Amino acid sequence: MELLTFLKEHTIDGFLPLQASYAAMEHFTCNFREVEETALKNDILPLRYKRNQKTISIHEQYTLFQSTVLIIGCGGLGGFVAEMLTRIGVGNLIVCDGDVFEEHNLNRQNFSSPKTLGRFKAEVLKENLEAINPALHVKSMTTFFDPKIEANLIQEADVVVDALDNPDLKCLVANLCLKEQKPFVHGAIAGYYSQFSTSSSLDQLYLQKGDGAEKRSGNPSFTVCFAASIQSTEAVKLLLGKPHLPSPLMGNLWEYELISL
Amino acid sequence: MHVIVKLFAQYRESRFKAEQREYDIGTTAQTVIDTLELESVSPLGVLMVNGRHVAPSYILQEGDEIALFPKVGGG
Repeated sequence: MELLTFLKEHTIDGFLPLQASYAAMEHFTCNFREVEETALKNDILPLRYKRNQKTISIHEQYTLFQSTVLIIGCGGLGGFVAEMLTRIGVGNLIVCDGDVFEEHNLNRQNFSSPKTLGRFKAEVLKENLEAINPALHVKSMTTFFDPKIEANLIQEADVVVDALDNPDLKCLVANLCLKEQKPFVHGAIAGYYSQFSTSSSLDQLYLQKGDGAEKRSGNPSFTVCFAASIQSTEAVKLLLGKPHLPSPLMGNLWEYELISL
Repeated sequence: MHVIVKLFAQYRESRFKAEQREYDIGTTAQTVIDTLELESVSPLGVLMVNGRHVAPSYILQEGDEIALFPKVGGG
């Protein structure tokens, strides 16, 4: 029996449950990713995506599975963007951060816990994301992103997510993506406030040099998750060729405003 | 001359949200930033006049609406 026939015979209400995928792996000596790919390619939806179905078609689900997103920075924004993209079904992630988890990250950074303190954020992310979806492929880079050395990573990705915390580096990465014509999702936060832009230069968002308002206002968890949600939405829209942010957006969770800039 | 000044995010704290203010003819956007001591809060992120991004050296005109946003860089 072929893998595809096996999968078709083991769907329940039209969906492929995890147990059937595990059985297929054993029966055909293949890995989980191969099973999920065969299913999606042939219009069989793994059960994990059932609640995506009304928003994302099975064809789009397969597009996401084949996509690669580079997430630069695995702190607040990067950790949540990585999890959201994993759960929605993006098939390949490159996560890049030379930092390790520290105690002051525990207020907001996904997968930081007393147990992961001192460990590379990118490695912890890879472990947790691949545990959520064994079909996912994560490349973890435990070095700080250097635009001069790692420009090739940008080439590998379909979309680049800016989850950095350094305005100068954010601008450099944005300009590099523009030069390479690579879709790019910017996000940044400070206190109750956040800002976003998609595939545009950041020069008009960072007029003056120096530290941003986050040095004064901090980085609370709710703003991180809000901003990561918008960035994840933009990344998915870009991957699926949907309309995305036409101009920068400023988010205000203090007075609940969204302002187009 | 009259200029409407709009402040956003941390710039609003202990200041105002929007105000019509009087300035001398020839006043630049940077002078507005300086008189409100905005840079004591955070460097400037975004500067718009009448909905368009401009440089701090922009010379304000009667009736202009200037919008000022602090720099936001956390990740």
